Order: sequence, then C-alpha cells, then structure tokens
Amino acid sequence: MEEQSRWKALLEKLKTGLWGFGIVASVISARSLGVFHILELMALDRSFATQLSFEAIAKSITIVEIGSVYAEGSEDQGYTINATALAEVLNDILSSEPAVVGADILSYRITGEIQSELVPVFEKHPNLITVEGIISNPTEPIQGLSEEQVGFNDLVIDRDGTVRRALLGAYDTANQYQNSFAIQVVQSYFKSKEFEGNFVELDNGIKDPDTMRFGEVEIPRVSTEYGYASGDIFDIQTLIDYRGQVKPFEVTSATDLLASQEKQNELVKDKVVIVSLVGAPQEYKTPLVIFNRVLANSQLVSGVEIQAHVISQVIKAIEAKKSLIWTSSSIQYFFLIFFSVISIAVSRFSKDTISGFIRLSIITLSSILLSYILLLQMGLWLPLAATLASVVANGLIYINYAQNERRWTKLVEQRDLALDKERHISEKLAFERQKTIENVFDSIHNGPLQTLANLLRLTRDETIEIPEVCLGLEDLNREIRYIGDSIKQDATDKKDRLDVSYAGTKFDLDIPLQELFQEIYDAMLSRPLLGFSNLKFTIISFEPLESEILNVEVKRKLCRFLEEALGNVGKHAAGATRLVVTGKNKEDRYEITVADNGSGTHTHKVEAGEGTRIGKEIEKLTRGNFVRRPNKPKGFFCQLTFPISV
Amino acid sequence: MGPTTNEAPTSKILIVDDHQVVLSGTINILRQHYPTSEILTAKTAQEALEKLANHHLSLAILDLSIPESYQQDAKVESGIELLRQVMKHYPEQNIAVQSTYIKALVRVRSEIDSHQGGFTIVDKSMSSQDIFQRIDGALKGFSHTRGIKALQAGIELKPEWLEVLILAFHEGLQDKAIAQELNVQPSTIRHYWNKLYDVLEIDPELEKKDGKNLRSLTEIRARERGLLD
Repeated sequence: MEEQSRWKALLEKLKTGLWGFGIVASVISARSLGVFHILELMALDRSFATQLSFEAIAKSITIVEIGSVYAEGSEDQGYTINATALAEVLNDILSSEPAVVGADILSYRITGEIQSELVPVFEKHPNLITVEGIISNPTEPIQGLSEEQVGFNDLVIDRDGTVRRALLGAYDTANQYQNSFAIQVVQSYFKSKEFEGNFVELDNGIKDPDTMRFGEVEIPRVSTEYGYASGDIFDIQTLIDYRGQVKPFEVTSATDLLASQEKQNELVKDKVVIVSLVGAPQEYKTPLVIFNRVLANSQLVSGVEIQAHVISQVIKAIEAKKSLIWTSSSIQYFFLIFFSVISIAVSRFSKDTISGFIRLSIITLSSILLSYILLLQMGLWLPLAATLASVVANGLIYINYAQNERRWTKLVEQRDLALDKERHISEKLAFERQKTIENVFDSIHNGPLQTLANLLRLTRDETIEIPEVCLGLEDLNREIRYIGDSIKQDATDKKDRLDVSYAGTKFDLDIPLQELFQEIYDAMLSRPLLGFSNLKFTIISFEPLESEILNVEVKRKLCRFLEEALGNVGKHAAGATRLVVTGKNKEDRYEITVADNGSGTHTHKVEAGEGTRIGKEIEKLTRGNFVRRPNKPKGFFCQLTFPISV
Repeated sequence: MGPTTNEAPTSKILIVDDHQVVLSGTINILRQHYPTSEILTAKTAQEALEKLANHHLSLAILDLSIPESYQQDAKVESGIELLRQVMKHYPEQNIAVQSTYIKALVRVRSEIDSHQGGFTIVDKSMSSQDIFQRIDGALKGFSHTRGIKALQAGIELKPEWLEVLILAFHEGLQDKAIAQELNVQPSTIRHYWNKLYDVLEIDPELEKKDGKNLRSLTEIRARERGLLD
C-alpha cells in the first residue's frame, strides 16, 4: 500500500517534471529554427564588448595609414595613390624588416606605372601581400604577382549589419579557390619565423578536413550550431574573436612612421604591418560598437581594422595558444538542459515565491557568468539566450506551480484538520454517550434493582409485613427518582461523581480511591439487605493506592465493582456472620477481596448476572484478573487483582 | 468518670475551631477539668499545623468545618485534609474530633483505625458531660469511633488486629513475640490491643478498677462473640 503510494507520488513528480522537458524541447526546436539567433549574437556581442580588462594589447600588428602627403583625391570622391609613391612607402617599411606587410589597397586605387614601379617591389619581397575582391565587389589583383601574395579582403556581414564572421577561404566567380588576405598574411608571417622549432604551415584540418589548420591549430568553422541559418554559411568562415580594447592595434600614419627611424624600429621590425589608404570608409559595425559608442564615440570601423582582428586572432591562437571561438552541440545541449533542470528543481521545491525568485536569479546569473568565462577563457561559445529563455520560462512556471501546490496543500491540510476535529468530536460524543449509558445502567443495577430484588425475596419468603413492603417501595421510588435527577444534573454539572442512589448522594471521584471504597462500603452496609442482617464481624481495610492508571473512569468502575461485590453479599449471603472486605498492595499489584461465610448458593447466579459484566469490564480496563469462587468452608469469595504500574 | 486532677501540669491542649462561641464553650469545659493545662487555639488548618509543629501537645481537638487559611471559607474538606496531615505526621497524637459532620469521617476511617494515638469523636450536640468524657478518653489514648461505623457491619476490625488475637490466644505469644512475628514495633501491638478493647467494648479504666485482667477479659469476650473459634 505504502509502496504503491510512493510510486504514485514519484509518477506524479515525473509528470510535473515533463512540462519542464516540454519547454526545453520547445526552446531547442525554436533555436534550430533560428528564433534565438539574433539574441544569441547580441549575447555574444555583449561578451566581446565587456572583455576589456582581460586582454593585453596585441603588439604584433601595426596599421599604417597612407595619408594625404602620398595620396591623391578628396574625401568625397575617394583617394587614390600613385604606384611610385606606394612603392616608395612600401620599400621604406620593408627596409625596417617587418615579418610581413599587407597592403590592403585594392588595385583600382592605384594609379600610374603599376607594372614597372610596384610589381618589382612585390617580386623582391615575397612577404608583401596585397588584396583582391571576389564576392561583393570583384576586383582583379595587381597583375603578375604570385598566388601567395594575393588574398581577398571581402567581409561577411550579418543581417544586422555587424561583422562577426571572417571568411578565410572562398571560391571566386571563376570557381577558383582563394585564400583570404588575412590567411595569406598569417601564412607569410609564419614563413618568416620559426615557432617552437618548426615553420608553421597551412594545411587542411584533421578533425574537420574542410577547415584550415596552422600546425596544430585548427580554425573552427562556423556551422549551424552557432545559430546561423544554413543559407548564411558558405565556404570557410570562423567567428572573429574581437580584441576588447578601444585601440587594439598600433595605428600610425605613413608620414610619421617614415620620418622617425626609432618609430620604424619599434613598430615595424618583426611585426605584421598592414598598410591602408587614407579615407578608407569606416562603414562596418562590430560587436565592440556598443562599447566604443560610449568611449571613443566612433560607431563604425574600417575594413582594415577587421582584417587586423582576424590576423591577430589566428597568430595568437598559434603563438599564445589562445583558443579560437569554437562550440560543440553536445556541450550546448548539456549546458541548456543542465541549467533548465536546475531551474526546474529549485523552483519546483522552493519554499515560497520570493525564495523561488531569488534562486532563479542566482541560476540565471551563474549561467551568464559561466558562459562568459567559458567564452573568454576557452573560446567556448554556448547558446546563452536559448538557455536563459528555458531557465526563466521553467523557473516562472515551476515557481507558480509550487505556489499553487503550496496553496492547495494548505487547503487540504485545513480541510483534513477540520475533518479530524469533527471526527474527534463525534467520537468523543459517542464515547460520552456510551459512558453515560453505562453509568446509568450501573446506578440502576447496583441501586434500585438490588432493593427490588431484596424486596421480592422477602415477599416470596413471606417474611415481610405490608408496611415494610411500603417502606421498601418508598425507598425504591426515591432511588429511581434520584437517578433521574442526577442524570439531569450531570448534564449541566461537569464534575465527576459517582451516583449512589441508595444513599441519596454522590461521591466525589477526585478523592483518594481508598476513601471512596470506604464510603461505598459504608453506604452499602447501611442498606437493609438480607446478607448483612446477621453480620457480627467485618474484617475491613483499604490500603492507600497510588497509581497512574487511576483516571476518573477507572476509579468509577472500581467503585462499581466493589458496590456490585458487596451487593451480591447483601443479596445472596444469607446468614453470613463474617465478612472480609480488603484492598491490599501486593508488590506491584493491588488486590481487592470481598469474601463472606453465608449460604454460598449464588455461584451460578453471579456468573450469569450483571456481576460478570462489571467484572469483565474492570478486568479489561485495569488489565487485571478477576476471580470468583465458593469460599471455604462456606460462603463466596471474589477477588480482583490488577497491576498498579503500567 | 468524674473530674480528674492527675494531669501533668505542663500538658498542652490545642483546640481548632473557627467559631468563637464553640471555642469559648470548649475552653470552659477544659479549664474546669484540667486547670493546670495550657490551652492553645487555632482558627484555620494552616494555623493548627503551625501549632502542632511548634508544641508537644497532649491532645488536639479538631473541628471538621474550618477554613484552610484566613480569608477563606470554612469547608469540611479542609478539616478532613488537616486530620489526614495530623494522622500522617503525628501518628501517636491524641485526637478528638468535634464536629456536626462526623459522617464525613467515614472516608478517612481506614486511617483512623490505623492511628496509634487516642481518637474519639465528639458530636457538638452532645451534653457537656459527654463531651468531656470523649475528650478525656482521647487524652488517655483510647479510641471511640463507633459513631462512624457502618450500620450492619457488626464489629469491624483490621486484619492485623485479628492476627494479634490469634497469635496471643491460639499461639500463646507475648506482645514482644507478636511484634516480631508481625514485623512491627511493640508499641504498635499495644495500639492494636487498644483497638481490640474498643471493638470488644471493653473499657480498660473501668475494668481495671473492677480488678479484672484485660487480656483474659479480651479472650473471653472474643470467644463469646465468635471472633475467635
């Protein structure tokens, strides 16, 4: 029975738990439909934007801006640069031995004798990289350069206009595979310097053969796991791990740089130098926007800066072994489900609504903190928005559920309490009624019925005169009336008393038992009963009785028992001359004895009569032992023995 | 019995009663018969217990309807409780109960029967002569409790008293031997004898004056009445 109800309770718990899993499932499927995509990206942006204090400035990249001294044109029409001027700037930079120089200047911005002035510079310096356009704005690179010196600088812009992904490799319009500008720069960078005794070379991935690998570092590709729709994902993309500083890279103008040898040594030697032309449009939004908006008042960044971020993150991943941004669907599910289950558990079993909300807030905060730390320290990206949605939805639902349940439990408890009270009262009433009936019956039996029996016997024996019969009948009348009156009085009077109709009085059941016995003995022996008329000696003694079992009802019954036993002597022990009435302590028991030496013919009558009932009742009530037998040499003997202690 | 003058001059008698009239009446009787005795009075149960604790009394005359302490109503229950206390703590104290509610004593009769000092019951409606006789009986250590015996019980005795009779007259034992046999003090046996004199209606003073042997008389009376077989 108990086993069954426990199973039932468990099943019930599982059932209520199922809603939570329903919510989790809904969140996961909504996520796969891209519902949370924007929110996830916002969460990601937020993480990047606030990582400031964790990052040291990437000193290995310098951005050199070629200003108006070398460039031609205006801000409105866009600037161009003469090939000769550019070659001069590049030669000057290259003379300071940079690791790699990337010229992020598309070919249509270069005027003049490209082939004769510029190409020789490229030929002389294989660590000089330039750009082409292949997707949105296809632009041919400078002709006559080796493949390794050209990379596309196209950017992938998300639907909200923010650049979060970097395209590392792609197919151009002629379906030729091309590496990006950033990849070409990194590749060239590691050609110039050994890392841990090896030259780091670009190769295909091992875990993911479709991605790129520099030595041991595989660059994680963007997949649908990041919340992007599959249509958005093409070729090789990775999430850009934006450096969190306001000014993440050294930026200098070509004029300043070339004027100072000291600056050249500091900013160029062994560094990645990215050269751009003045007036490059600052048109791209990055996750840093929000932060920059506050600090630098510049919302948008130029493409060259984004390229620098991409280059920086790949170099850092290899040199400093800093994780690139990656994810894993199983960890994502674990994260989401883990926090959802915790949310369900604490909300479901919260003690009250406020504590439920506090716990929910703590869980929400800890999931945010955990995802933040994982992203910044390990590069692990987790679906925070979906997780928060699931956590909060579950939390609210189960807090509400728990509150309803508490309210319901309270109602049920109140109802049970009321029912219990009612049952208790009705039981008590039934018990009181039973007790009253027994009391009245005992009163009648030990009072008027005894008087009547005596009167009958005397009448049958014809030893009584009419006036005496009248006196007896008057006694009977008085006794019966007394019982009626005392029942009425008992209804209003709460005191516990023993009706003694033949003495026309009541005995207070609060006084010690031996005194009650004495009073009953006295009242009984005063009745004009046959068995008492010849008594010469009474051996009488009631020893005091101290016992915890003696409540009012037990006392009442013991009194009735003594009354009954003495009544039997009075009724049946004709000619008795000696009577023994004793109450004695016998070790841990109390022994009540009533013995006479009368005619002793009433054995069978007693067994069938009321005495048996009271004897049995008192046996049960006191857990005692009731004995009745003929006395030697004649008469009758009855004895009740009961334990004093429980 | 007549006036007695052989009382010890230092004897003290305590009278407990909350009615000044009764108190004065009883004091008069006592002064008349025991001119040398010191008479103490108490009006409440509390006061009576204090006097009992502070004085060695030859006799305590108690009323049943008295207040527990000052400012309280007189109740029979207080008097009964006082009597219980006195009998419990001073088992050899001579006591005379003077009351109009002597029926109430039925409840404590078992204790009265066990009490080793004198114990007599005085109804306030008795004549002065009778009252004096009962008081004097108590002072001498006798018992007179027939006023509270059940109507048809015949002679009431305690089981132990019967044993004293049997050991004395069937076994022929002396008091000392009986005391050993029953594992009680010899004084208790003397007390039992006093009780037996009472139930067998033997007046020790009178019979002694008549030159009778109390023990022999007791045996004869017990056999006559079927108490001894």
